[in-house]
Amino acid sequence: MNSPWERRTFLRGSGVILALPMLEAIPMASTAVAAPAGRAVKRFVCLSNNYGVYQKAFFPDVKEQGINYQISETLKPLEKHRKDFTVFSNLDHGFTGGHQGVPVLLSGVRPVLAHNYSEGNISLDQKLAEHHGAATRFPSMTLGCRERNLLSFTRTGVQVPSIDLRTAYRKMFFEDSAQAKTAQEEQFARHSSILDVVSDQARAMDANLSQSDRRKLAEYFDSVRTLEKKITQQEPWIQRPKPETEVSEPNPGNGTQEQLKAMIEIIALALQTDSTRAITMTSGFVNGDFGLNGGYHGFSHHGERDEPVAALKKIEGFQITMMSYLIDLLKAQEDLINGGTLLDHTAILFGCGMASGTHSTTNLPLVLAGGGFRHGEHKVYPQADQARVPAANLLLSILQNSGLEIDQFGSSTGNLRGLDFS
Amino acid sequence: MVCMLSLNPTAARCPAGFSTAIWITVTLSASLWSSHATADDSLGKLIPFLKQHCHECHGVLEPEGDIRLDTLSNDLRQHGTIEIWQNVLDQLNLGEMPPKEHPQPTDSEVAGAVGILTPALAKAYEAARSSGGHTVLRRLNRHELRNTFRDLLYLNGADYRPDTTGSKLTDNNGNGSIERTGTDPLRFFPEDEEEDGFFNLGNRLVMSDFLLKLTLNAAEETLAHATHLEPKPDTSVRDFSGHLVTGRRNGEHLIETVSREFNPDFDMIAQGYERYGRLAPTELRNGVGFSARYQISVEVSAHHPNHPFEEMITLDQQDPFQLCLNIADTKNGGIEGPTSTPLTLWSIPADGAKHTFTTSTWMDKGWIPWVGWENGQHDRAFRAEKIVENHLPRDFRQRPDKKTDKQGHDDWPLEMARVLFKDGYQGPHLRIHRISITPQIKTWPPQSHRMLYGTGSGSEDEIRQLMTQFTRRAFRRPVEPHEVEPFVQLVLRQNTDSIVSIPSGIADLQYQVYEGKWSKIPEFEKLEPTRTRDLTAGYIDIQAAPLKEYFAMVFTGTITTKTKGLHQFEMASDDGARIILNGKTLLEHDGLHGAAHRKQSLELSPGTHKIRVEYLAYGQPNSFRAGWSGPGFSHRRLSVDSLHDKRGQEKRDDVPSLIRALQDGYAAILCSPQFLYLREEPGRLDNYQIANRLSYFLWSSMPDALLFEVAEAGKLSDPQERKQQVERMLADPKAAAFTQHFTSTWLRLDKLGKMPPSGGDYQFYKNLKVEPMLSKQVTTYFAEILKSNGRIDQFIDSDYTYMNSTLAKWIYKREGIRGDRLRKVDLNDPRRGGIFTLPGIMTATANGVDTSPVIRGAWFLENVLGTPPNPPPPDVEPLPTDTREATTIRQQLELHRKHEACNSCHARIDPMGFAFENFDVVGRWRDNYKRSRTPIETSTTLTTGEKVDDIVEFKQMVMRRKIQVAQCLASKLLTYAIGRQLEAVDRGDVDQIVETLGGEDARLRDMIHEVVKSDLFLNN
Repeated sequence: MNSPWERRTFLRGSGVILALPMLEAIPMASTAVAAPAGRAVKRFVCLSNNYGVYQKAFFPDVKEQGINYQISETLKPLEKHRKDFTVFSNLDHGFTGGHQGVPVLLSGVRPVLAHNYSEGNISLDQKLAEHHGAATRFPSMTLGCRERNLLSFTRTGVQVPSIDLRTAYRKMFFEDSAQAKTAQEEQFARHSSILDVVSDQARAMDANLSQSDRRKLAEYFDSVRTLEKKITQQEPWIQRPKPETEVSEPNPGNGTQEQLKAMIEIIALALQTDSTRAITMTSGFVNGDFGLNGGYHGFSHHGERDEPVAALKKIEGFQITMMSYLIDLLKAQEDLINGGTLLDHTAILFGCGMASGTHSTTNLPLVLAGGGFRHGEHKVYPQADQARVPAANLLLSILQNSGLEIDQFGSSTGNLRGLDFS
Repeated sequence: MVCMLSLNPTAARCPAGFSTAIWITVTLSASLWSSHATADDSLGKLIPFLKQHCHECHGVLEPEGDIRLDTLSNDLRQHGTIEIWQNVLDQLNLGEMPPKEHPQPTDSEVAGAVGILTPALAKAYEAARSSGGHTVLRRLNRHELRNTFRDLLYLNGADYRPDTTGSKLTDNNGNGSIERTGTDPLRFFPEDEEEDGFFNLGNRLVMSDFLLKLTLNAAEETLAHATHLEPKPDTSVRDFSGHLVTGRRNGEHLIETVSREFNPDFDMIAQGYERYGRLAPTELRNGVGFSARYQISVEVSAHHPNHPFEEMITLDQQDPFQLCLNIADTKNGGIEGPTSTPLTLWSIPADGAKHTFTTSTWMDKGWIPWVGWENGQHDRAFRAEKIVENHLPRDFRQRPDKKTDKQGHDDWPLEMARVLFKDGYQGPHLRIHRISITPQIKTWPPQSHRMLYGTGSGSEDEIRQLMTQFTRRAFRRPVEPHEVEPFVQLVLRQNTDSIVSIPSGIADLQYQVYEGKWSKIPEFEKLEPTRTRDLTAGYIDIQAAPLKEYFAMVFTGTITTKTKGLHQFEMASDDGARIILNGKTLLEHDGLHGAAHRKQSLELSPGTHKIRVEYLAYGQPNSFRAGWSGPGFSHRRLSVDSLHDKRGQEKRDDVPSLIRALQDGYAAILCSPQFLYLREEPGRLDNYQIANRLSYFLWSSMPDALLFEVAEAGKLSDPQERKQQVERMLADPKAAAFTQHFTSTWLRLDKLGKMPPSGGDYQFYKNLKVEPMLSKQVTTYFAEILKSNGRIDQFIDSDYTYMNSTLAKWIYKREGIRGDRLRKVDLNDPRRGGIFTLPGIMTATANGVDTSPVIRGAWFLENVLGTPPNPPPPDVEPLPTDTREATTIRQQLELHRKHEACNSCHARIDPMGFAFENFDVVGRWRDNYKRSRTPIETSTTLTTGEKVDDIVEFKQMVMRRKIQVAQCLASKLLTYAIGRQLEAVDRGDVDQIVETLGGEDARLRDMIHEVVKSDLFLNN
């Protein structure tokens, strides 16, 4: 639990010298020291934006399937990790709706149809958060980098709000004072006793309700029970020390460029310290980044004009560069729980639920790296309408790979054929 | 719900035969009229078509894609069945099935099948949304919750204004770092679930553990906010007279600055205000010290309405001078910032005599009042040197050259301004002689505290009585003892300490200040204090010293103990300090050091004890914090700054056990379902349920005492009584919640800010914080019609609108509108009348980048005419758009409507939108598309054959549909009032309401009365 972790451990492996200053000695933040018998502990990171991609520069040629494909312009920064990622063509969630596709990325379920699904439109990261429960301090992290993160939904369809860079850092590393910890414990105790009374109230109310009212009340009941459970899960974490780091608190800076890089480093730190196992992050753009003048949304309505297309390529190219950087970091880091590298047990998904700024939701940009999948290919799925494969199948595969014994998730029809993992 | 228009080249997914087709996707809600669908028999008519064209492949033998159409049920209640039927429809629409190598159905056969399937599916989707004709247990949405907290706990302040939409996540510094600061207890709440713009539909609103936790935290925070353990604040008058402003203020006119050299007794206002030109006492720059209701008086005189400067000052000399009093949050942009709120407008006779005006308002801590000349001139050309040059030429001299006489060059404007004051300034101006503010606190602790804690006796009887009263109000109905008892028991369990009432702070506290530079606490007997004062607040406060560093202080006073036992004292000081109790040093940490924490315990007997604290301040920083605890009570502060919290806020630790226990009980009540949900059994509503419907309809909050009373007396079954109550409620300031939320619901202002315009030509939108003004403009328009019981057709067209200087200048390109306050303005432009073309609406129906006739047309059909178009085939690909070629949206749509499947809907939608094309994404008028520089053509022909050339004719066309507009509004009002979607059978109630109101002559306020009269309102 307190094994000193030396700086060089992070530099081992890929041979590159990383700019990321890492931890001197890290007490693991999680309870899990070793993997439970035979099963690796898996993590998940989703990197996203809210406007899709300029598809022509993003996808490799559909005629070039398999391992011998020519990398696309936007994906160039991933070339060096060619064996460690897969790019998919012709996967999507099978409906239209432009910007409304964005929050659907990690479930494949539109909020309006959520009531048709047993788990509503719960997103992949929240499903994992439920799975990992109390194993880490933070069941999940929903991060926004100069942008609202719209990806995370609970099973009742409530959107999980995102936190920014600095808040994430503080939550992970700022040790609360003894008093604050005591106050937190008191609060948990207090909330538990309040919830006791409150659930009795709900039971009293239930006695003479109509059926549809009773369904609503059941939702409330469920909320009380889940909250009670979460309090029980989080309670032990209060007194456990947080990991220490010599990385200083990131400066919010002025450009998305610096901030996104810092965000990637925070994500790496979060995984390295096992502070969480499910992360989503959405990055944006502010006027002035990359020397560009304008807004992200404006660029995305490019109308094939040179200027906004060039701007999009720059923004998206950088997002991919940052994905590549995350791969660098995780490759270089030993996985203290499972052995191997962190990348071996961390699935990184780049994607957006709206395919492009023209509001198309067909053929979503999806790139998957790490996680123990067999990578290296451009996987092209059928284009014809009847034969299309739901992108939710990829989500199911990621969940299965994470150790969930389920055969259905969101709008999936099965796991993603052709995507193997050990 | 109208979303982005999506256009995209179809090549990828459309079969060859349809390659020119353009699919357009508009996500629309289904109609307002839900119905309970079961098996849909209309689908039976499709059997021959399916048999002929589909069964061969999708039949019993090896069905293609595992889809069998021969056995497909027509029970559309099943999710799986709908999906397959939807798939069939999509294939037909796309022309992908039957495959090309098979015999093809004729166009009219396909159209026939599509014509049956489309409405059947639409009906099925609606049925899925139906709540079965009853309002389902309805969770208070976040606005209702906030307002209910306010009224239940008697809270005040900017966070609780009736029309607040809550703290948005704001990007205050423009760098994308989103902030969730502020004091709104609901600031962390996510947006509520929405359907067709409604945020208050019972079956749609959900609960989750996440939301419950937020509610619990918000309840605790709000209860703490309603608790007042601090001593009564100092309520003496604060008077600002003579020069209110010290030093020059940003945006002040030079004449106003120079005035001070000549006029010691007042500050002058010589110009109107925009973002600048606002006057507030400099001494109050951090705002008022505590939240309270304040009386604000301003002594002002107005001078020289007639002046010799002619063209230099364009003041309408007929108008009286108007002074506008505003308040603003100094922590959030100050007097030039977005929190600035106009309170009152005073007309001042221009007789040169002093007049005093008084008003009273609540101000939160940190807020400040400011005044501005509402109708004064605001013109950059208005300059002292120009006036001198033109009207006092003998005193004018040229500006010295910068190179040869720098000083003279710089001083020249001042010098010229001084010329104007030689014989007194002759221009029109206001003189502010005095601003005084008086906190109005009559009783202490305030009502919120008394209601929660009573006398503080802690007796079980009083606890039970307090909890019963509170529960009754929180549950908004009479309660049985057994409903209250669990909360009482919780309080009794949580209240672990015996009730020991320890007065907070130190009694008879006095301090002396000694000036000097010591490295150890000096011997005070040998020194002479430079100041000796009382500290009535009762807490040790080193900032009471007039110095920041190099001084020492002695505090003396008494503390009282009630129980014999061990008491612990703690302190942390920077630098040296000692605590002396009853003449004996108890704690000492002398010398120069940082704020290290020291503790000491001792046995004390009940009684009064003398406490003396000696303190030494060397170089900055300096601090002193101390506290104590003892048997029966936990940590109490002795100093202004708490040991447990540097900001000196009350922490739970400082709160007596009884109060904590009661807070837990109240928090439990605020989190129980009886509080969080509005519950109505099917059938006739009882009086309390009617009271709740009324108050959540018109106030978005709980019933007040009077409404409770009327309900208790059973009077709400009487339509006359209800009418009186509605009138009373609409006259209450709380009705601003209705204006805000209903208007937003009806006209979909929730879309405002989702995709705000940014950059380039739209930079002003963000920089000048235009968005709240746009929203306010729409709600003001609505509120005024409501107030005057105006006719519904005033929404369609009018010869007036509302603007302030910013909107006038940036949106309407109009001169002469002064000040921030929205005011009614006569229109000389028929294109601009009515509510539907207001810039707020034009912005909400655009996406910040492009406009689209489809979106605005669909928005109009759905929200104004109440005839939403069918939802688009869900599986169509959006298109466009290679805008390098100068094809206009109009050309694309023309192409699109050539395709029969598209035409059926778009022939209805598009003509409703073309007329709006002259309004850009923020509602400014334009004649050309900016990007392509092509002229905008708006003429179109409706499906009825009516020709509409432009927005003016469009409004005439809508005028011919007044009844339809009134029916749509009535159904929206009903839906909003009862919290569920209307069903097909409810249509009669809607028509009835409009008919009773005289159809075309329907008036808004009357319509609200009719809604409240209707059976739908009185039944569930």
